[in-house]
Amino acid sequence: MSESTDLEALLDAAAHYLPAQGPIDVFIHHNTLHAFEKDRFERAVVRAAALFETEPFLAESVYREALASGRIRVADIDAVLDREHSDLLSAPIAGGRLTIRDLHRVLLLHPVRQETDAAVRWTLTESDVLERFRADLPVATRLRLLGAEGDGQGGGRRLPDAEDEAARRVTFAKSLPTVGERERHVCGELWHACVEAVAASRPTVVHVRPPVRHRDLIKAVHPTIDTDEFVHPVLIRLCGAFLDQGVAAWPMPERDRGLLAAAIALYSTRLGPDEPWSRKLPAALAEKRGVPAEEVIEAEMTRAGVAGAARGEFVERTLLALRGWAGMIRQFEERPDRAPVSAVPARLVDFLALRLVLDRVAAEWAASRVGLAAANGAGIDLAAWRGELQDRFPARRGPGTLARAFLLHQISQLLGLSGSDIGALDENEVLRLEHAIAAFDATERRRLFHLAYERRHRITVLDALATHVAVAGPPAPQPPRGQIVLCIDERCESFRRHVEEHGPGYETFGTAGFFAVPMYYRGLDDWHASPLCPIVMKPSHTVVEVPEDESRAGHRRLVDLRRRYGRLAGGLSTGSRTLFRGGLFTALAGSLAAVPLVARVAFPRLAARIGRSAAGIARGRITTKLDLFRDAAAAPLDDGTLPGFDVAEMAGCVRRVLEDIGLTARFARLVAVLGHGSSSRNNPHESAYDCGACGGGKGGPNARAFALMANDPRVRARLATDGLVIPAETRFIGGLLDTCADSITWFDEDRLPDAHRDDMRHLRETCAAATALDAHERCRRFESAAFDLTPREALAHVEARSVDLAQVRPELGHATNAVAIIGRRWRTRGLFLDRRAFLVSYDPAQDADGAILARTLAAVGPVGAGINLEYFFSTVDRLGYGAGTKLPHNITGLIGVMDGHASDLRTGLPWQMVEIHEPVRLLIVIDAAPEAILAAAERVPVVKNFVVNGWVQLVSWHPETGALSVFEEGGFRPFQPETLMLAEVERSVDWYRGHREHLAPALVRAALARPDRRPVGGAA
Amino acid sequence: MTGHDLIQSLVVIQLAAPAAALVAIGVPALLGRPLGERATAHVVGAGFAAGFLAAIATLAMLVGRGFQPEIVHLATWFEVGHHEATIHLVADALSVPYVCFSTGLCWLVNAFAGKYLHREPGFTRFFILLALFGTGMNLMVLADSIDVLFAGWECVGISSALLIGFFHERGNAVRAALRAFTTYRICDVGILLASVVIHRTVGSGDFERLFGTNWPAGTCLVSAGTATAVSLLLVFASLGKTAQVPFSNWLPRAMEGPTPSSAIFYGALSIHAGAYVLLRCEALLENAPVARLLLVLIGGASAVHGALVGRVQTDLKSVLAYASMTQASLILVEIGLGWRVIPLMHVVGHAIVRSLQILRSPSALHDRHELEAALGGHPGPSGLWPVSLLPAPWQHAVYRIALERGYEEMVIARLVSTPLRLLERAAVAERRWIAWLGGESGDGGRRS
Repeated sequence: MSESTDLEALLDAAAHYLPAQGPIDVFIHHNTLHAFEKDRFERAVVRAAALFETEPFLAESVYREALASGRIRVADIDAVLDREHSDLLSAPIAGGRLTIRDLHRVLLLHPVRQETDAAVRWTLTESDVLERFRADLPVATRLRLLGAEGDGQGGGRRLPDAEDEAARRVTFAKSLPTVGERERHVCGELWHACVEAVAASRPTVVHVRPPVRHRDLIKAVHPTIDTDEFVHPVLIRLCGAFLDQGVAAWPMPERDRGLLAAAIALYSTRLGPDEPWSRKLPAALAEKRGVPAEEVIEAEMTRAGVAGAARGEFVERTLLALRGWAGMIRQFEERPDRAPVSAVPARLVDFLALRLVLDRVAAEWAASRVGLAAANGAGIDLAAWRGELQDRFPARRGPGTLARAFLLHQISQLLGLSGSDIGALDENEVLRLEHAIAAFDATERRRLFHLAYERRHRITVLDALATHVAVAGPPAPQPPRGQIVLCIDERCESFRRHVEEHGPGYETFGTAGFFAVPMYYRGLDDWHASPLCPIVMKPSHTVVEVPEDESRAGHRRLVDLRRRYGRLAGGLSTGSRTLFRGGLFTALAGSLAAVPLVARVAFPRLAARIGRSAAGIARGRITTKLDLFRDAAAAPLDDGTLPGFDVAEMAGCVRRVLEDIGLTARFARLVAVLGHGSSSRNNPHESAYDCGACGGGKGGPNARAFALMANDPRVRARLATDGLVIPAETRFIGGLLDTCADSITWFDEDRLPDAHRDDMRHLRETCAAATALDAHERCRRFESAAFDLTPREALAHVEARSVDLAQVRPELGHATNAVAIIGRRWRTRGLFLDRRAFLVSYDPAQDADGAILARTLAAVGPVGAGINLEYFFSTVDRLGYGAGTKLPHNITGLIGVMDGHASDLRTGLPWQMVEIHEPVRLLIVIDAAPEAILAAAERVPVVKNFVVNGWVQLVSWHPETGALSVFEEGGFRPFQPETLMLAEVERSVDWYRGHREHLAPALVRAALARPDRRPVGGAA
Repeated sequence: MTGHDLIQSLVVIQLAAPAAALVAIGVPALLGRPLGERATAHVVGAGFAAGFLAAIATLAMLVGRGFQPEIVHLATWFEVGHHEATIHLVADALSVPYVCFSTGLCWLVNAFAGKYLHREPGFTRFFILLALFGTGMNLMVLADSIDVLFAGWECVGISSALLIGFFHERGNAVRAALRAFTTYRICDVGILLASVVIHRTVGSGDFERLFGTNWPAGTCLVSAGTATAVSLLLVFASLGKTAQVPFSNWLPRAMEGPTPSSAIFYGALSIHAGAYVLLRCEALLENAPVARLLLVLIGGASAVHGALVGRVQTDLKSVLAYASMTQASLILVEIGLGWRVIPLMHVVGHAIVRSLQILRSPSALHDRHELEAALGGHPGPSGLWPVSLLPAPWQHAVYRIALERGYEEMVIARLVSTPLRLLERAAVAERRWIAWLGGESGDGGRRS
């Protein structure tokens, strides 16, 4: 009994590390390293890198380029070094001449690589490293080295005689021959000193703990044999067939009984010629018929000789070897409700049992291959072999003497240590120096580089905020012309800015894009309801879109037409793959497909427009409404949810949003509520571009529902009794912003009173202009869009991208996201934030007890951090955490993508999505006092954990003083702006025109709430 | 310029335009200064466009003169007594429409790839290979001698293998490319031997010495024995590129390459290259019933294999690869039955449908959702599936055979590796024997 619970615990622990990405048709952004959140960020990424064999940070060369280009400054490196534990860093090395900090500093500023002996030998013979100093040596160090030698040796060698020198001066007119000669001498002396210094001690030999899986041991000892290469194709085929949601016309037989049982049913008889390794597989599987998976695992582990503490690591490593598929099995097991079509009875324990049987058969074959057994592994004791392999596991040798000497030679130059300095060190001091160098390895350097990289970004943003807040002022007391509430999504930042720029009378707000309306929603064209709310919530209401009474007949006709069309299209598509129907169809009518082929490839936008028009004609004029209102007494639906919302619930939703964003007075006549979504073709990751707050769905229905609720007189009456008065002349209107095509669909426009027609027309025009300007700004990032596009052309360009089959970057999604600002919009209004900032509306003045901040953090923190961290890790390691390039992606079972025809499921984001992303942890700036933030974070454990463990950066922006303080090492520290200069332009376009790269914040005058208030001290 | 001259120049343009594009982007790349992305795609696109327009013009002129074939004597490679190797092209009712179709598709895929491969490190390489493929394809289609055809055939083969291995940093892609390349090389022996037989029999590689050129009503000019020998060799040659049993297992792996090249190679053109060669030599096949019978048998078996295996594949590209194989096999059956126009229509129709399907395969989820919305539910199983009438254990066996792709790989491995291992043993034995003769100790065989 205890064994099975043990196993369960082992499995749960190991499953924790599997990718948590579900079927790809609903893509939820989450922290790739979710399993490590309990740990400090900087430690967690290194631990995870060791476990997954991935990269913890960007490549060192990337940071060095950033250093060279000024993206990281030397001041940042110094600041980061200062922040490290100072007592350790100030420890003296090299006989007290230097501190560890000096060493770290030169190693960060100058690239020095640990080479192998062979490479060093090549370098020594093929270049002049022993005659010349490093080219990147600072002048002072160079002079010191040259001078020091002179002091130490009492004048050193004599200069060459005058005649010779004169001759050389003629030849090398520009160089100083004396210095050249001296440099050669000093450099050579140093080399000899280094060789002597390292010769005193032996190269290190590290005995690494051997791995636990047979496969890893075999591969280390017999590098030509990789048993995973045998096992994986079979396992991938079986998992693919087992989880398939409708690609294969013939589903896997017996899969209702689980993966292990199905595999046994299919593969336990001898049939056809097996591969050499799998000859014993049928017998091995037949043995397990009817045996519970837990017992199979137990037996296989015993047989493999894995016992005790090694079991945990064994299970972990075995599952991680094909982690994409194992993770998907786990997802099906834990969330069967998220299976797109059929919730097959997936169990990770089945997967592990099957995998262990396959692994064992392959290991036994490998044993016979290396001559351990007569044939086919008969009489192999895998447990004994395992011990033998562990003994033979090769130790890792440290660098050889030559390599060590060379490294020391290079670093000594940088540190300004001459040959006599090195020669003066005793054996222990040399060892200490070498250890200090080795301890500051690539990972450690990259960690510090990364901190410097984030520091520079933080300073740029915070400086801009500190400068801008002096210019920005609260809006005029009278209500604005219009108000628009959008999602916090950073892609909405530019849209909001352009609305404000184009129509100064407008105000914008940001809140989580499901607008506090969590629901299952079934649209008119949908065949089932899907959840539209953050993934952590489970909606308890269902809302259905129905045709208006006068459109009923038209709708029935349309459904009929669509069904017939669907049958035809589906029939052709599947039929074309069969033998006879496919033959008839392709031979007789196949050429007709040339029309869609040419249209879709050569004229994507035109083809899409024609398609839409045709659909529009077929659809006719069907008006719809949301079946939103429910009597408080209505019975729940079959699935346990309630049909719609009652008045109290609706009032709750409306109040929640209006209070969150601080819109409780100064209502405009028209308030627009815009959800967002994205439509694109040829894009398995399409759902990743949709609204994260809607659980990877489109937020239009939520916006529409919210507007209906807020317009309802009963709801308003209910709100008024609680003190939230919405004026009678204020109307709400819902809409959907397509972030890919930059278009807006408005809902229920005809329900607006006549008195609001003009307001609506103005809103519509303003938004239309803003979408065009937004498209224009987005186009600056697309190399295929010329810089001289007009906004109208830019709109056509982004529209074409959204329907183009060939377009692998329909939009750039959340790429470049870096900042989240929670606070009053007027404080950031007029600041160009380059579509990199989540903007959350929050008014500290209306939140005395901090409750609103707490719930805002709870809603926004995990979503924003999840998006940010998923982009972070997919960028840091594009293959290990990300999904690699999209080009060879192959949709499998409608649940995920593989590379080519048989690979692990690729999780994370594809390269094309993260290409321009700059991985920095989300910089959350909150318009609240430090104490208020701490109090609010205390109430939301998940956010507190994120902050305390450094998975996000947190800044307080004091509501009254505007002082900034950064959360560091457990508390807020005041931030001192570096500069209070902010570039200033009239319109956004003046700032971004002609640039493809990330842009620093700038002041956009036209977007200011009151452009009359002239800023001071700015420079364009 | 007479109509005769004009049509000759047009034929040359069909070949020269993609070749010029190949040189125009290939030479700068060789010199280490590749053209920019946009220029590369435009140059290759212009090459295909010129070839396509020339082919359309040629077609119009051919129609005007009732499809009377036009032979273009480009050059004579060498001449020895009665023996000559010529470089001849032909414009007739088969080749010109086929060039229209293949170059048109290349043009389209070129436009697609220009966007699809944007910023990919191998951008220039892709277009070089695409231009090489287009040139080879036109060379093969317009060829009027077995030698020219062989040259085109090889260009198609090498560009195909290199594009499968496009992502050469991934082991699977390189292995798949190697597998395709090996299969091609084995089957290419067929064309090479056919070339030898033809040269030996008629003293030249020219098709007009083998059969009359007025396709599809050509008459065979050689003996039935020669016709059978050449036909059998050509059938063998076509098995590889058309992915016929037992040479089919490279095809699903070929999907390791970028989507547009998969579409044009394995959905459209490369997969039908064998069918084209057989159609070109239909007059020989006419006189070779044995070869036709073989074609029907192999094609039929492959069609059933493809249909069965394709039914259980769970990834989109494998499904489409097997669907391609099924139809390509069916086309071979049709050729074996002695039909002319139907297989040609089938090639064109199938190529267009399949390349569209492959190009939009990454949209499968989007399309699926639209389909489900239209149907108001999941699409159910379609069509009659005879296997479902079998008893359960039999069904399991058939399913497993299909999932294991007909065990074709293992059969081949055994057929190939067993003899190789015997050879290896023989070599070891020989070395021992020599060592023993040389008076060394028993272990002396291990000198290398």
